[in-house]
Amino acid sequence: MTERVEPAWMRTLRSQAMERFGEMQWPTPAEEEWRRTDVSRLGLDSYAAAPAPKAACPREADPGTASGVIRFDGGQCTEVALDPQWQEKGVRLLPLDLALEEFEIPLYKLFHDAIKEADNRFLAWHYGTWSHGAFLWVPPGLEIAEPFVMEFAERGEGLFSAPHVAVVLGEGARASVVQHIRGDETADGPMGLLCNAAVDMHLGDASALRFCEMQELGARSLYFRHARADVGRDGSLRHVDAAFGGRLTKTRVECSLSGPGAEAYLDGVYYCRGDQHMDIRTVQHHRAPRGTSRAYYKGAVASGRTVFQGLIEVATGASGTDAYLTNRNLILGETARSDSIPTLKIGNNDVKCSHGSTTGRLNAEELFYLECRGLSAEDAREMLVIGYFEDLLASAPERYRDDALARIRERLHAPSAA
Amino acid sequence: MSEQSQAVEIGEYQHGYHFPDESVFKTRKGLNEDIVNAISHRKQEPEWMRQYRLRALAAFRRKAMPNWGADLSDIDFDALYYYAAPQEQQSRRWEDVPANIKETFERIGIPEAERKFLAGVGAQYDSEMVYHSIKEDLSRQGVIFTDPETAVREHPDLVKQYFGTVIPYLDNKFAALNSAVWSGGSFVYVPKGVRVDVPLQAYFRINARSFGQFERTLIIADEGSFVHYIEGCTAPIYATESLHSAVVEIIALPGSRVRYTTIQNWSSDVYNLVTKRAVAHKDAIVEWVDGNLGSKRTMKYPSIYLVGEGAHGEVLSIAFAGKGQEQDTGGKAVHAANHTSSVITAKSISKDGGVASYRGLLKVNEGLHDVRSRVVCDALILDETSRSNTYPYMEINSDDVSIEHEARVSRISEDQLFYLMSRGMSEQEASLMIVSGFLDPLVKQLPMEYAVELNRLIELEMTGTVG
Repeated sequence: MTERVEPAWMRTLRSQAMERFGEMQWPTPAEEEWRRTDVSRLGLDSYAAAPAPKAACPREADPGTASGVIRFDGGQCTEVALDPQWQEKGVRLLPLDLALEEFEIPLYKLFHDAIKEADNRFLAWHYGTWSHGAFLWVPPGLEIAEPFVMEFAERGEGLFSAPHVAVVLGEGARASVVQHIRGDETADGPMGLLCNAAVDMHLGDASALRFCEMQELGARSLYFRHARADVGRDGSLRHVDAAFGGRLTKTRVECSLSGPGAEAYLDGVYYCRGDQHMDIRTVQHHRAPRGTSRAYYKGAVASGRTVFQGLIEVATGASGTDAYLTNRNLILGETARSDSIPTLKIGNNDVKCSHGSTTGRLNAEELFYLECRGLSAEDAREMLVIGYFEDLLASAPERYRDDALARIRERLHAPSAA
Repeated sequence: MSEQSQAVEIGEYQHGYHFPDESVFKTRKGLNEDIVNAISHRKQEPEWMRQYRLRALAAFRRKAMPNWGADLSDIDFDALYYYAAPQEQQSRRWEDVPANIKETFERIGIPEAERKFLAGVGAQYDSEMVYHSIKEDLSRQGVIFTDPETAVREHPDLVKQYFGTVIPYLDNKFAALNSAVWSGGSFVYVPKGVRVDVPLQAYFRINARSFGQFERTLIIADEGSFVHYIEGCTAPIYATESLHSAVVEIIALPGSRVRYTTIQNWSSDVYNLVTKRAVAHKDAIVEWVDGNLGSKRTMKYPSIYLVGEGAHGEVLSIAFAGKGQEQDTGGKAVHAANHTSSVITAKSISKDGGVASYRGLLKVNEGLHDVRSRVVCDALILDETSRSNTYPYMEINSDDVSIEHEARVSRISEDQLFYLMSRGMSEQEASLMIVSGFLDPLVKQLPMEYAVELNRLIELEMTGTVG
């Protein structure tokens, strides 16, 4: 067992984050963003830190068809694999703690800005206590087709973990990442696991990143996630998230279009059943001219409650902005509850901004049509629900799309077993 | 673009005529139990109303200011007068209205022809009705159209049954304030099956420096009846801030239909913080037509609670936010029964640094079926310094629903401008035509004379001149 020794700058940043943590209170429903998700009865202070992982010295492995793979089990990095052709060209896929020295400059900036902008206690807590994580660096001009896979198996009843992912793309680089967060039976007690995750993405000028996240924590766990992306001039972000697990999830995806001509696509699917509570926030922040952004979130709610709060914010100087925000909710059960709050804050007249939201149930005529063609009621329903989600997942990497659709199918056939 | 912004300067506020304040009875500045008791005593109210006011005052003190919406930090509750009675007793006929008040109305531009058209005018000068008449046939039909003070005296049973039931004083800080110090407003009761063919109208003015106006309106439409109530207001300009905080309650009993139209054109130093809410029972229809042009900051979200099967609600909202203005407006529909439907349509224009925000709620309670709702918001931003925000809240707790929402924010399209200008219009004329077209679907919903007035006001805001 080697004690983890961090560089002094990271220790300083952690203590700054913990200082902010100490100054803040847990968010209350008095704050608009937390109005529909009350965390006061979750006993947040009673979760214990997961045991500190050993300094990562993962075994090398074969990435298979992926460009690279990194796996964590209970906070410990167990496997890292990187396609040698990318390794030679300077790509780095590392456990975060092993990247701190080599990538001090970009990581210091990412963490420093995140701590400075942290507007709630979960964020300050994450940056003070992040326990394990993955780092990906793609040098300028490299175009990598196959995704990098990051798998996190989070375990431990009554424990909290704080996994972090940092992705930095050099100018003109292109890459995609698939991140899986899973839980297991070790966190199926009454408290479950508290997973307080964050992702920081920095997209250099004219770079393109596709980041797909899937969350399948256990039914009792709590999941907090904050993903931030900073998109440079003519850069392009495609972020997809799929939420399935957890008794309570509260997530935020925030993209800042900081360079002219940047674009961002924020897509997401969620499936809520049993007594699940899912609260999802997206922010499309246009800070520079001629940006394009789209947020498109689709959910199915069998029971439990979903909250979608989307925001398009256009700064005064961001002329030529084109932004759209859509949320659709498919209500599958009588006790389902679904709130949709798509908001716009526009400080500029040279914009095209709009949003749409629909909430409804499966179309009875379409069901009838399919049943007339000989499908059972259950198959007809499945076909419509899968069709509802499929268009949104169409652009995601195949393995991610298939995984997500498989989770949706399972849930359709077990509507209450959360 | 720059040429256009120069062309559409807002003109001088044209309704800023101010006459010396001649109020006879006026409470001192600030608010406490003594002042509430004095208002109640002055109005010779029964004990239950005095107690109601005092409970509301306690609630006002307890309630926090809203932590959202427009910036209200400039309001100093201790620097306001809460009650002033005008110098004249309530008049019966137009001829008895004091000359200076008549002159004020003249300058606002109530046309002679329109007066004939009016069924009854409840024109409010400061806090009391100074003029009030009801066409005889309405009286014969049993329609009650009076000020709420008279209603408390003459129809205590109706008032007790409905007053504060739609908007309890605990609802929010400004509803509590109004409940404590209310003065003036309208009381309307339409008996079963009676259709009031001509709109009932009341004009409101604020005319005392730093004086908050707290009118209270209660409309009860009995089964199968119909009434259209119109409220328009315009106020003289003052350097110190004024506060207007009204409460409007509507009870639409089974099968009735109520339409409530407001054209708000307070001067640009008024805080307009109004709570308006209607309850629609079985098969009732409630429509709010709400135009907000004036005031410094407005926060107003006309609401409809659809509590009976088959009820339908509509909100049409126009907001125009010019220099220094913040229009935080919208509408709410709460579905609490099966087979209910609602439509909320909002249009806003922001210009010269103004901020227009749509804020709305659409709520479907648990276990309902066949609920339909559609919310559409359109915003036009006319220059680079103006802002537009949209905050639509949708809370859906039932599965058999169809909910649609759309919002769009844009500027005047250059293609449209180019087209019109190539047809020989100046840029200013073209902009005005596009803005009028943008608002047209709402203007059409107004009675003719209001449509004319609104078009004139928009023209005034857009070009600084009329005609």
